[in-house]
Amino acid sequence: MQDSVVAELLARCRSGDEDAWRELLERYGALILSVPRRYGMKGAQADDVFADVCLALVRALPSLRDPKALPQWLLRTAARATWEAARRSKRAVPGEALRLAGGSLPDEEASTLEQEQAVRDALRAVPERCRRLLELLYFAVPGLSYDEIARRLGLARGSLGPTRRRCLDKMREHLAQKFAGEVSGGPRAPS
Amino acid sequence: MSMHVPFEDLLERAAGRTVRFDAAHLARCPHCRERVDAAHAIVAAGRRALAAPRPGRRAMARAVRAFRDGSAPPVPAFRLVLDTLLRAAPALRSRASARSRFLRFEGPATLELQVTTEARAVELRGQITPKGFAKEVVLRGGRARRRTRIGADGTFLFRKAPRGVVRVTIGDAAIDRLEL
Repeated sequence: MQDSVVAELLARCRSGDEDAWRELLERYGALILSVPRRYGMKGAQADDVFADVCLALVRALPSLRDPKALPQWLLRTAARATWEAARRSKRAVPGEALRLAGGSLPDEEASTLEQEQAVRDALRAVPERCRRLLELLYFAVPGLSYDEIARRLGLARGSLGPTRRRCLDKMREHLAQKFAGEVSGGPRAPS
Repeated sequence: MSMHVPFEDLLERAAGRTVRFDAAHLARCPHCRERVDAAHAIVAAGRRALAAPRPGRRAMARAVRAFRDGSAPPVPAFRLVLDTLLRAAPALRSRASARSRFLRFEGPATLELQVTTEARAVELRGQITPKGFAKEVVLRGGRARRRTRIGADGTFLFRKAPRGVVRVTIGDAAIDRLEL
């Protein structure tokens, strides 16, 4: 489902649709930016890397047909752009691992960033009400009590459980693609 | 024999809440332990993902300029091959003020359009052949943006299309200027 949405976005970008381009960047902007920031770049320097990746993406649009390959392509390109930006600025190349890899993101780092993107994609794929609930339940820092979550969402405390299950079911398949282990629900263990 | 711990409970625990379940089962069940790891990885990744900075307005504006300037490859165009204008005959039709225009385009696909104008309202119907050429049609004109899904039979409908000159984008291809 997500793949077909991204494939459609890419097709619309190829036809010059600016809205699709914005949507694509909304979807992947944080992923792109996470690479230079991971290697200590901030502000204008990180923005320069983001701009370089966007320019490369515009040029690569005709050949980018596989939506599944897009996050990895963006990470590779962002790593290379980060490396180049550091060299241009004559600062120490950030990140020993990045330096050793000559501008390639180490597999473990790439995997971590892809997992973050998978959660973003999964949250984007569920209805807004579910997204808010899942964010508050699992991803809020510091964690929130059920009472606080119910209050923020305007729900009865007792309805959180059933709603949570429905929302998790919707998010499940998107998460299963990127996280090892079975993420499906299972019969409740006797307490 | 106890059953596997529900994944939602494992997520709750990974998020720091106290959840009661069969600890003995968890200790001896490799399947559940694997899911514990997955739950912790999801919660950690989600927290990092939501805390990660997004590009600011300036960076986005710069990226949009790059797209406009650029480097966007030539768009396959639809070529107009038929354009006709029909006025409703008052004696034959109830919508005496309506007028319809039929257009046919060739290009990467065949596109037939019917533009019906009545008072200030414009309705745009279309059919694209082959079916499945694209999933969506986008109209852009001035500040107006409209999009609609293409049906399985290749047809689509904008009940209220923007008036004036619009750009019609269908999949990879476009009509650069269409006057509605």
